[in-house]
Amino acid sequence: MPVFDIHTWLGGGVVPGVAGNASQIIHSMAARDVEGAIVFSAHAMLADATAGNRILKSTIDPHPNLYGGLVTNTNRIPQSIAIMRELMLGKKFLGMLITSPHPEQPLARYVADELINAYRRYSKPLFLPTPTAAHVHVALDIAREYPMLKVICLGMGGSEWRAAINAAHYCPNLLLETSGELNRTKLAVTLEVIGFHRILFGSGSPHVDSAASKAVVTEAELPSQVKEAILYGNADKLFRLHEEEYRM
Amino acid sequence: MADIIDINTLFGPRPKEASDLSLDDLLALRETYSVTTSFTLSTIGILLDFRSGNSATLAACSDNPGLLPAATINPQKCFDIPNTIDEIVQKGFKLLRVFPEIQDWEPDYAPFITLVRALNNKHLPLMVDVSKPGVASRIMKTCENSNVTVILSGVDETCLAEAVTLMQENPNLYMETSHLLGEGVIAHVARLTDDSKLLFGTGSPANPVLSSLTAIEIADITDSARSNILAGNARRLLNL
Repeated sequence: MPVFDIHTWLGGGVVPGVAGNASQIIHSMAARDVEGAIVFSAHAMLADATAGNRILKSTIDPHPNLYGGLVTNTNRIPQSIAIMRELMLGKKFLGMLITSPHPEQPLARYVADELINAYRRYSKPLFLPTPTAAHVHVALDIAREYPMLKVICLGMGGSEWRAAINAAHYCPNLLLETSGELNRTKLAVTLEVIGFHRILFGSGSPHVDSAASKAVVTEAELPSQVKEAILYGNADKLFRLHEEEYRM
Repeated sequence: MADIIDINTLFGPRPKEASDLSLDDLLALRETYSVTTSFTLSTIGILLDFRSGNSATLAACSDNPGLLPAATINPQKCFDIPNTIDEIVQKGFKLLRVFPEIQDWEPDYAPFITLVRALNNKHLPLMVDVSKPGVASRIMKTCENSNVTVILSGVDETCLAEAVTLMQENPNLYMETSHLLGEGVIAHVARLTDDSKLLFGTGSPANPVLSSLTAIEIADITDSARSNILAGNARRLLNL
């Protein structure tokens, strides 16, 4: 069963020699039968968005199965918009993530709007980290405000995943990424409420091994076509992974 | 077929779950993954009343030979800890679990200090759920003049370095693996401490068994280390 992981990180893990460069990421993906991945830069998330995203670009550029997720920060609006203009037109970056100086708190909407307005022209999905229900509520607000934008809740609310499922139920342009709490029942509940088309596999690797994350999908009592869609098909459609003219 | 001992399973009501953690699900998962033995605990003992919970745990285990009972004590609700520990040992529990973060008590809480003293010289390992940095250090401070065997459960990336440091300093300290799911973490911890210090646990049926199992199977460790983590260490430590 092919796997596309929409949520992995370059750097930021606790184990030395893991996810520190393209070769380590690709070796890990091959060992876990992951065909492709969207990679975010821990450097951009935690230290310097401009430098981190540029390093990420040079890391993924030579590798056809690695894609980028741009990280922007509400604390650095001009720099974030500049790096957006520099990198988002390229086909390797499949979406943009917004973080803030206090990622443990939900985004301040009025600041995030500046970034989202600048981002809309690229017609690519928006990633929002949602470790809690409060983050999910902001993601829901944003998705409602921008109905043409696909908003992906990374981590689907953590242990408050029910909030993410309810939010997605009320908002068709809100999508859920499977990392967060590794719970045996959450996918079955999600499927019951919103169907499978808006569930995307992501691991949060290296913080959680993609093999362990994938096991949540494979162990779930779901039909195999649903598992295939979650692990690959939905990402394939959303990010147009097989449209060569789009990728090159 | 590999021998697998899961030292962390639960059954019973849990408000954050869509439904109760069913004993039937636990048994079915054990069968699916050929788990030889599972230590289990009724959530009633954590959330409501440890005495009723321990009784429910014993009842479940007496009906199901592959299950072994883990006891719990809530130090906030126990006024005679030494005798309660004696009762737990007499009833055949082989593991005692405590949950300071869920129950909101501190590792330097006087009743917990009493509990640690009461465990001294008794062969009843103490498994402590920790998920926040600093808690494990304070637990070990409380245990420093005792010979109690401590197993840290729920250790994730945020408190991994702390747990490893403590394990390097404390020969009686072990770690359960249910939250060691980061890439390369099992092998890293085994290198920094010793593979004899890791005990396989899942947190099932709430958590997927396969995630925890995959983390061990994929780890860059020797087959002998893998087999120790999956069962050998628990067999030795818990006298199975």
